[in-house]
Amino acid sequence: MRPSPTPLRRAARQILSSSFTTIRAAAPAHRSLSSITTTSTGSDCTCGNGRTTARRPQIQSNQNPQQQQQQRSSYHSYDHPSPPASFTPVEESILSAAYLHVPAHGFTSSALVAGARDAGYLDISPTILPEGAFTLIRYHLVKQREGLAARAREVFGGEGHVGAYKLGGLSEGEIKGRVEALMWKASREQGGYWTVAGAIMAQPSYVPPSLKELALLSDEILFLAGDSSVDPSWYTKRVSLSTIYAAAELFMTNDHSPEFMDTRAFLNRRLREVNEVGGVFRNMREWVGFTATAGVNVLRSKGVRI
Amino acid sequence: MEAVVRRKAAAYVCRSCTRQFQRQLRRNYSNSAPRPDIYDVVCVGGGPAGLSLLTALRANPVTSHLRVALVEAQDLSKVKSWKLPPNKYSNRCSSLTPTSALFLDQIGAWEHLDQTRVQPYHEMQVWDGVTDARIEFDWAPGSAPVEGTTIAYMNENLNLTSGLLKRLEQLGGVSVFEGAKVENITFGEETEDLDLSQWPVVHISGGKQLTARLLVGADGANSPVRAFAGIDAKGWDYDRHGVVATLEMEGEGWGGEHTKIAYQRFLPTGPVAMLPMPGNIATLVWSTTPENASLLKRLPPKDFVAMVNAAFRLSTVDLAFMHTQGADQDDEYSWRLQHTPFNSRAVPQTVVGVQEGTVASFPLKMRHADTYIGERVALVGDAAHTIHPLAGQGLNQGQGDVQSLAKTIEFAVTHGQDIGSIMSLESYVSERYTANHVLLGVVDKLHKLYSAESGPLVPLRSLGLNAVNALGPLKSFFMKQAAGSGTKIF
Amino acid sequence: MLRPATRPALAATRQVRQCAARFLSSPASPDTSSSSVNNASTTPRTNSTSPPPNSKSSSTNSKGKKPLTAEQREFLSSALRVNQAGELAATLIYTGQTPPLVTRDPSLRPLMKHMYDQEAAHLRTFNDLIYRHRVRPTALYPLWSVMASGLGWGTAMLGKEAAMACTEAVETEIGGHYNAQIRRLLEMVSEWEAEGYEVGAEFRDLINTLRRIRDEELEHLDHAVEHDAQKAEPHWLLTGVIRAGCRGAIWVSERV
Repeated sequence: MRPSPTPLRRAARQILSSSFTTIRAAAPAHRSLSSITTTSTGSDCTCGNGRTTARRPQIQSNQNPQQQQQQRSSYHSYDHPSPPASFTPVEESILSAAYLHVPAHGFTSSALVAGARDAGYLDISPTILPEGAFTLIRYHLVKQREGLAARAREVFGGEGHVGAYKLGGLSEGEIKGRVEALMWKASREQGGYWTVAGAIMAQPSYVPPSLKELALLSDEILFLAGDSSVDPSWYTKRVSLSTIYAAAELFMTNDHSPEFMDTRAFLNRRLREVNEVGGVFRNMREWVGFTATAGVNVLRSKGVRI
Repeated sequence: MEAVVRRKAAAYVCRSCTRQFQRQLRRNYSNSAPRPDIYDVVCVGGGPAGLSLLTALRANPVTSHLRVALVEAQDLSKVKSWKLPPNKYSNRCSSLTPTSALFLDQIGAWEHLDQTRVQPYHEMQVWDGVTDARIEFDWAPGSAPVEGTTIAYMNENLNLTSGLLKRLEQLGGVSVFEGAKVENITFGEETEDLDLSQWPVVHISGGKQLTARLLVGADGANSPVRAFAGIDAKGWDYDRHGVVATLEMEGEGWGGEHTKIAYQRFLPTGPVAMLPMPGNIATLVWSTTPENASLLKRLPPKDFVAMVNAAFRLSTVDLAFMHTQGADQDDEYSWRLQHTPFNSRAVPQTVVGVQEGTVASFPLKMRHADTYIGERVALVGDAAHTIHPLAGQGLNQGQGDVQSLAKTIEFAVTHGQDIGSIMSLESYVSERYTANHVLLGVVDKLHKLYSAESGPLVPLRSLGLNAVNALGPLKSFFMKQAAGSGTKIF
Repeated sequence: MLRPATRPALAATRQVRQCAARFLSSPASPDTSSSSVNNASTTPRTNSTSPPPNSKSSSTNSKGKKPLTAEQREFLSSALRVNQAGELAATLIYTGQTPPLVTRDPSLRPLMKHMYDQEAAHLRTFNDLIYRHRVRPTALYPLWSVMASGLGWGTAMLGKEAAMACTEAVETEIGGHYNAQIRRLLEMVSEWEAEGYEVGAEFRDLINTLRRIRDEELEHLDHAVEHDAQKAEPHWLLTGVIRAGCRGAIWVSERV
């Protein structure tokens, strides 16, 4: 399931790509690095400070898209949990070190290089990450999403198993309130360089993985909020949540109010609209269902043997 | 005993006759289950619908020989001896259409109602809260129908049930089981003489079991009889509560005591209706959101009266603001009234007081059962359908059901049919189902139509309302349909 | 005297029951004779990023619980998705069948109510499992709703025997389907135990739930046969079409 890019995203692409031309100038650098095949072992590398004691990273293929697809719609076990397998151990070590350099360098290849150096690899090592700075962005998104459960626990008060509510345990209003709180938490943790990250995510080759991350995030938010629908509204809720989240993030890039108050109000307005529209559709469906069965009942009352 | 019989009789009587004799003895002296108590009609529920049905069956000489029983969970003696002073009125009132009143008269119950507490009204003013588009239901001089100018009769529910009980007592012949809760409804047993395996048996508290040829469910929206018959009721909740109260007005109404006027204003949260009672009393039915309803119930009388007056005079925006206040609506109302132009004769007279203890609310929903009949089961009244009170049709629908069912039973009896078989009952559901369904649908659409506060629907509905107001024949058609005296379409 | 067309149907029923009996008697032993799945294919492929299980430990039960492989998770999610779709269809079939059947023959009311209540309980169970394990429900939910209601109503209009034959066909397919799932789960569990891992309550409960539900479905099958399912005309066509439809719906629900 892939929500299609909204017109907003297309507009975002245009606006952000035009305003951040300097960043774009740096982008070709890491893109050309990424075009180097991943089979290089670094033996013909002549850059860097010639640390001969640096390790040579083992090349391991990144997760293929099919496995990621399975991850999203797959069974989540409580007794036999699979560790979230988004990054290989080598990637993990480089990225976690690079993450600490983001405040200084932003989501760029220089952060990756600094991180590789810290982790004890060669400076050229980030070339094993074919998508370059985007992998760092994805790392950030994945970490935020995985940390949402812990943060939800502190926001909602710890229940033993966050999200493992009985079907129907929470009322509609409570769920809506939690969704809003979680979305706000998720969007607030982005940090200062997020506009740049947004520009990178909007590049055509990175749009599919970005959308996948968005879908995974909406699934996580709805589950942690306790939404227990298992009928077609499962799909409509996730699509509408993804759209609102993307719109809110876009709004946030231009929001200068203190503590992003305007964005929060924007988020609330969009959620309320979606609820109203959802309510209208639900009433209509209810009415159509009722009228159909009532038609059959009227005919039966008149003696038609159906 | 048996051994003695066998020895003595063996010399003179053949073996098979002896065996038969022994079997008869065994039956007479056995302590097996007592003979089932079989009634022709068992009516579960002693509300207006159930009592009307039993009265109709007893009053009609064709059906008066049927053995009937009434099962009611509450104590009916309190209802029978119900009496309130002339200036105090109960808060549960209903509007009886002339057709219902005629039916009650035919079965002889009308005269047992306390007529001093029944108020006929002759005019109705209905208007849109957002745009003030208005429709006036009144009979222009000279166009009054033969039946009289009364649109309907306002009446307390307790007055009606008390009158019906008095008539039933007068007629006699009903086995009344009051204070008896229905614990279970099962099928009977099959024995040598009787096969009651398709007959419903009502088990009531106290251990009694009533076997019914026809079990009538008049037991309200959560009917156990309907559940027993496996009939599902579909519909939805309106997410609204109906607030009722008994109000004291400043006078007897703009038309005086001989032309009482009923008022209804459609607010976006729901319609508010003020219906006239004898003297300067009126009854309020205000359908509004649950939050507003709980606020109204909490308010002191002064503020409650101010809210009711505001509901008929102030704009919807002002009223919505007053709903957000926790107190002092009285001052707010007096201040805002100065700045709101309105025609005082187009709205009800000012409310000056509310009778203590009469402010209550109940949730509103719409339900319609899939069918009204089953094998030896029939449903009447709220057990069959629940409607929004905005058109005051709920009780009248129940009376219409009872009239039709009584006619069906009479037909079955005169034609020697089993009154409980589906074949006999089919004419009842055929006559009533579609008419009830249409009325439910129309009232539901009205509710949905008038819930819109803005948007394209608002000018359209105002246009429609003004148009119907201007077209005399169309208006009198609707009035006759509402009174039940119009041509039968369904 | 049974008609020739009924013999294959009876044989199928007998086969399903034998499968059921085998698993009823031996809770934890894998049934190699009927297993059509190659053992090699179910050897768990550890994900390259997950830390390898600590195989150096010598004590048998202290390894903890083995993480699920991606393939196992995919199997479980598609299994729960299909089961939910199946129970939804079953409840709607009974809802559609009951009014026409009961007006013709009121004595069927208790049976239909009993079967409907059991199916509704199954649906609630699977809804709960899908929610708790974060499985995606089937996207064709509205389509299955309409088709199941239509199937129930249509077969009931054809007559009591046709309605019972429909129940028989659906329950036969469902019974075989649950058997395959239980078999696969038991294989997983036995492999874990063979490798010395613990098996949590989650899986044991899941297997027991599926067993109980499978038994109740087979009970419905028995009821349908008792009530003249075999007498439907033409039995082979009705059951053939419905069984093929069920198989198609199962295949689609596993994926979509």
